Amino acid sequence: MPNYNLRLLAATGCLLGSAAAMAGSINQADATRFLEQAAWGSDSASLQNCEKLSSISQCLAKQFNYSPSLYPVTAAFPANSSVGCPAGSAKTCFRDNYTQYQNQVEFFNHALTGQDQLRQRVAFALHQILVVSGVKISQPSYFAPYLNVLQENAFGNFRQLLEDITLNPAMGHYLDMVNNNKPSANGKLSSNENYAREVLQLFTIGLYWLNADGSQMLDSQKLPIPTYSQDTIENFALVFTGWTYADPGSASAGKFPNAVNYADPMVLYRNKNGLDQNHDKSAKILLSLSPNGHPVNLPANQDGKTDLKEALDNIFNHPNVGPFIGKQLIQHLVTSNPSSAYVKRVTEAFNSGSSHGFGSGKRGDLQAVIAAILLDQEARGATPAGPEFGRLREPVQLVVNVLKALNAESDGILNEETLPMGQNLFNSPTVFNYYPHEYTVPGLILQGPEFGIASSSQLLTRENFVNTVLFGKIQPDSTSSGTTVDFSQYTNLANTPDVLVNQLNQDFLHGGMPQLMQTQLLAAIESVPANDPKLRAQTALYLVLASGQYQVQR
Amino acid sequence: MNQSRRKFLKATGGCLTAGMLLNSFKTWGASSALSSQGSGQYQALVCIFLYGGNDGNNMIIPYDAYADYNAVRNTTAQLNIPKSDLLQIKAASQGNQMFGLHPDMPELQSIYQSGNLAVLCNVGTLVQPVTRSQYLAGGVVPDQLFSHADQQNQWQTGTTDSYDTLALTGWGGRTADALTAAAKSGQLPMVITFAGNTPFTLGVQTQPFEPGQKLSGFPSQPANSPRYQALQAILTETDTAALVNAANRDVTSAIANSDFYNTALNPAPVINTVFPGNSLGSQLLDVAKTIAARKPLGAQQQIFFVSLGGFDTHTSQLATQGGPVRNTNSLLSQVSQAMSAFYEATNELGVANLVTTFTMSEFARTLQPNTGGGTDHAWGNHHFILGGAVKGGDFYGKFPKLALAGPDDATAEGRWIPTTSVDQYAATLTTWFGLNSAELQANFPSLKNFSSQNLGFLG
Repeated sequence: MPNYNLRLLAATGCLLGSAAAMAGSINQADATRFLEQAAWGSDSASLQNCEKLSSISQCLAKQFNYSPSLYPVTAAFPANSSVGCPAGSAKTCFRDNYTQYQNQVEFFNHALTGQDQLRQRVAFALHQILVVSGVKISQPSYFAPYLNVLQENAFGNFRQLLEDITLNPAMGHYLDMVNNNKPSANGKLSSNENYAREVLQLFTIGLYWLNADGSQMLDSQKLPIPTYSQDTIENFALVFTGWTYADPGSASAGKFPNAVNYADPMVLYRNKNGLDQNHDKSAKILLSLSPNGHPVNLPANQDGKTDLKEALDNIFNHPNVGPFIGKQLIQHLVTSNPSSAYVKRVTEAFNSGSSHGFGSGKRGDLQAVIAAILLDQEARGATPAGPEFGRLREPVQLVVNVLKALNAESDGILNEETLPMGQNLFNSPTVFNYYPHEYTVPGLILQGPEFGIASSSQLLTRENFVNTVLFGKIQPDSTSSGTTVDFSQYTNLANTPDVLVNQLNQDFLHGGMPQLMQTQLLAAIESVPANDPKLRAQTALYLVLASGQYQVQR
Repeated sequence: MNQSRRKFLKATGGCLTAGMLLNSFKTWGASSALSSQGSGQYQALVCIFLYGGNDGNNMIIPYDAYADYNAVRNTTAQLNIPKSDLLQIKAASQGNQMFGLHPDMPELQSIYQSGNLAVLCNVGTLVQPVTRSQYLAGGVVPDQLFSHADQQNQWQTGTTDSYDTLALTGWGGRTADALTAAAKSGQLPMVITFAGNTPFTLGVQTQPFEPGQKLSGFPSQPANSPRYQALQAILTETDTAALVNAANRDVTSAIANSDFYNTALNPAPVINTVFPGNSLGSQLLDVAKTIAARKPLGAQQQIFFVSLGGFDTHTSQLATQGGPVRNTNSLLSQVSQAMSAFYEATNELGVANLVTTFTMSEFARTLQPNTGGGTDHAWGNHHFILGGAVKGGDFYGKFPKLALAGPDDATAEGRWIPTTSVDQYAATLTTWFGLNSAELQANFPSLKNFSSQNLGFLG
């Protein structure tokens, strides 16, 4: 019998030597857990890529070296879909060119077969923090460059990521920095506040001053301390003025506002005399870098590029960025309720730019942050760190995890599965993501962001997905090949129910299946005649995958 | 910096940490409800949440005082709706002045004129009454004005204090908690959502039910299936992991509630009223079908939650929310058509006097346009209350003076300081629904700071 855990590790290029270890010997349950946190799961077809590595740390190094799976940037279509897909066009014209369909298929194919598993996990987490949504940016060719910014910067520096995202035209249109003009001379029109507000509230520092451990700083009256005011927003709105779409393939723009171009970063418009005439030239008051400190000021009459650089530096150097971003990345990869000490260790990695031998030593190094998250004592170990450890698998992750574990062959048309679970991929309802990043699980004082999309209807959709995968076939339409799975490795164990249960326990629950659940599973398997081993395997797999014990990544 | 009132769960900063149970795990819904045969008077509240911050300034426009509006909105951005396009309505409470509904809302104009639609003016989140001078002097105001997430939560939870335990639940859910003791919702939770488990829908005991799915893969009588038996056993075992227990608890309720709901709605109730084919229309059609099935559901009282997004119109507002040229796909058209169809359906079902529908949205938008043909986040807003029990055809509250940096502006861009609080709005609705005075005070801790606790728009 093949060792399934070793196959899991092999899939990400991380076959762990049994004797060598990061700190002591590597436990198989820990290794499997690592792959759920750092990858999308596994498939046995990747077995031939096995490499002998001696530690999780080496596995991480390997993952940091994989180049990104990129999204193809196809030609843009006319803005008006009735022009791009006139009457008589192929039935799929609108779907393929005016919705996120192509990017969704690409995403699922990357997740199911790409080598850069950790990069994809991190990029997907970043997508859910630095949100652009296809609800507004409908064309796939408009959206793909944004996804590529995330893929390319996932292992880079947060400062560069912030700049590339700020100047990405999809973000520019989504949050209205593109073509944001300085206030009108008569004072009747203000500058657009949208990007100014969300870049601070959601992408970098959040609403209140944080300690390094992620808790809120309190003032002398034990009240939290806001990081900015409405005045700050209005000042940042002025910073983000004067930028427009680039001329195609160029670093300049012929006019303001310029014709749409989503392939190249936005540029500061300059008139014939080189003046950035749509950029506001007043002095600007930015963030304070300590709770009682003086705000950083931008002098009047600066060039728009200088204003932008200094404003992004101001945001990036705010002490909140480490805990604000670090804690959310922990929640997306490892656990919804990290201890304050865990958050603090990740903040220190963000601030110092190094951790566990990874990172450049520069503030904001994301390899250091990721290493700190994944190699932390709270993430690692033979057993989960405590009763509150874990996170509800979000729909996209649930679907990919199940399919990879069952050796799926898929055409990547899987958004129809995740949409009714509350995650319409790349079509987040708002800039506040598919689910709130702070969501208290009803009845508990525990955070569980993914429980924000766990209504009764959404939960039953998850259960029914498991049923369809095991007992049916995912077949979105008659022209597609759909998704099929191969769980014969479990069918082959069906004659020995206790062995089957044990293997499922190892592969899906890291050996943590409660005794009562094992008993229930055995009884259900044995209720199926031994001459129907496939039904035995289906029965057992259904009960494991439909259980909260699996639905929560622990 | 304005102050706000807060209490803390913990002196350490109120962070929500591990393992603290508010109440023991229990299965909400079918297995725990007391029986009820649905006798007595049925009642429903229907909340329509307009996500993104609806621009009330272009929805309810002064007609007689049009010049105030026009002076700010009729700029190079051309964000004004021409006076001649307004759908005129009279507001006796505002000195008999004429106002105009947005031209995309003729259906609601008609219902207003028939007396079953009211407008509540300049309502928003407040801790206590506050004037412009008090605001500018740092007076007590809610946390994080102008932030989407915070203002959505405050509208939905009934507290402006993010660190009060009340912020963990919503006023819909808590109203259900208070009234479910009287077993008025039958076997289902009193709160039924068609737009997810939002804060409004959550109580301390009440978990909302969202219809739409049923467990597949089992025979119609699954109790004899060993796999079904094992599933139920696994879902109801206590695990050492808190989130595992929560997931299993919620799946257990979902199975029981959906079985019950789908049985009660089979065959599906027939609603002859034609609903618009948009998202809000289909959600409200589902509400109508659920109300039609109130007897098989055994429900005497129900609280519904539906929503429509897309109102965050920082740019291209006229094309999205609605412009001078009638656009039957605009957001305001969708609202008008869907609310009108729903009201007609309640007439068809003979429950128009028993169902009260109301709108909420996290904030209004600046009267002053920005350079992108849009508007930015503001504060006090105008809302609709619809139903046979509504004393409609008039405005409630006080329409603001549309003047930048005027007496009602918190800033210089036209962000109206509310003159009516969300608490007063919600208290009026839930008083009609049956909450007593003590329950109102518990549900809305700031309500005591306002002189009037009933705005009078419900009979």
